[in-house]
Amino acid sequence: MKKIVFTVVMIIAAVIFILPVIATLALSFWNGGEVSAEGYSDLLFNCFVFYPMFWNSVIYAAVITAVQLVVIIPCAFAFSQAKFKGKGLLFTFYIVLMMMPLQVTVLPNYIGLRDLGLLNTAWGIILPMIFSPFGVVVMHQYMKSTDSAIIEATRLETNSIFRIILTAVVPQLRVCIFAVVLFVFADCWNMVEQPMLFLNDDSLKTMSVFIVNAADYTGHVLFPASVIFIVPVFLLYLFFSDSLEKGLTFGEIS
Amino acid sequence: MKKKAVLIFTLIFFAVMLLLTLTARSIHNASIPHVSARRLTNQIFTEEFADENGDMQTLKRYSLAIDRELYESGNIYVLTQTLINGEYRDTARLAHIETGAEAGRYIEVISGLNPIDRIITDAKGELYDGCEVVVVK
Repeated sequence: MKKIVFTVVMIIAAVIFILPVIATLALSFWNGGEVSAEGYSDLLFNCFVFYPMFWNSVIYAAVITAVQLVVIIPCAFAFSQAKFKGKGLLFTFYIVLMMMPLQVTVLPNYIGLRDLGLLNTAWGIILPMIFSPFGVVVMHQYMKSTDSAIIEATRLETNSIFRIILTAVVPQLRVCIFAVVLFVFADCWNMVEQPMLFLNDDSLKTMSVFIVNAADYTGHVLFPASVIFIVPVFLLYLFFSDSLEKGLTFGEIS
Repeated sequence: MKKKAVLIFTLIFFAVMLLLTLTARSIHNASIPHVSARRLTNQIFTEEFADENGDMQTLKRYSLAIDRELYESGNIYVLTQTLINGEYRDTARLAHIETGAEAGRYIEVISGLNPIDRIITDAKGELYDGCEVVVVK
């Protein structure tokens, strides 16, 4: 009986969560009271600003994710292996930074970018996003469960930190890396505030901004754009879904 | 197997998006009227009038002129730029013009058009006020 109640509650919860996605998909084919693909036609064949914004989202998300990995892995490795004064304090600072809402950091970021002359450039979006504490914290927690004997053995062979990271750490972190990639990519893909605040030029803006401003465009473009907006993250999730659960349990499963 | 299918679908999705990025404008342009446009010329128009003594006088004016053939062919459309979906695109605006004197194949334009206006001289496709057009160079 308990199991049945639990299953029913879970199904209801799942339906509640998936309903907005299904509604978006259904409404994208609903136009003027009838089923129609006119919204897609309006978007894909009459709204050409959509394409640069789509590719901007792809480029920003891909570049930020790739560069974040380059920054995150050595950083997490240092937190987990290196011994230095103030390590605990610094890590606490990382956690506090991770907990901070975007609205708190967006103004200092804006001032910094303005002084560097990077407002209204792609770097204005990419640079602040590269140094995100989330990946470092997750990866550091996961690193605790890695086999340090492999790292010690590699250390006997080489003094190069980068070689140790590449040959002994990265293979053990694969599952966690996939989970972090998914979260970082989704975070970058969904960003709205940064492109709206740091960019003026429409040709540099992202698809999330297009969706926010969908009312400015003719035709029923909002829901079709939302469906296309979901696809890349959904595909990435499908690709990494096996690793996601393991990656986010901070290695407890492994 | 699942990862392979997702990977193939991802490649197809991005390939389709790339293809649409490269071809969407051409597909859109193929569905709207293609027009030729040019600026109006100025011509000398002669007007005869009687002075206070009743003698006939001739007044020559250098005014904006429109081709008689074009004027008589139907509505006159002016090429304009309109903000559509975040970018300026060529559109046809119906011009309401007032005509004056005639000289050979030209008719004087008194109002409704400016010297900087480019009028549509030839259109492949049906024009209406505000419709988007492609200008054939």
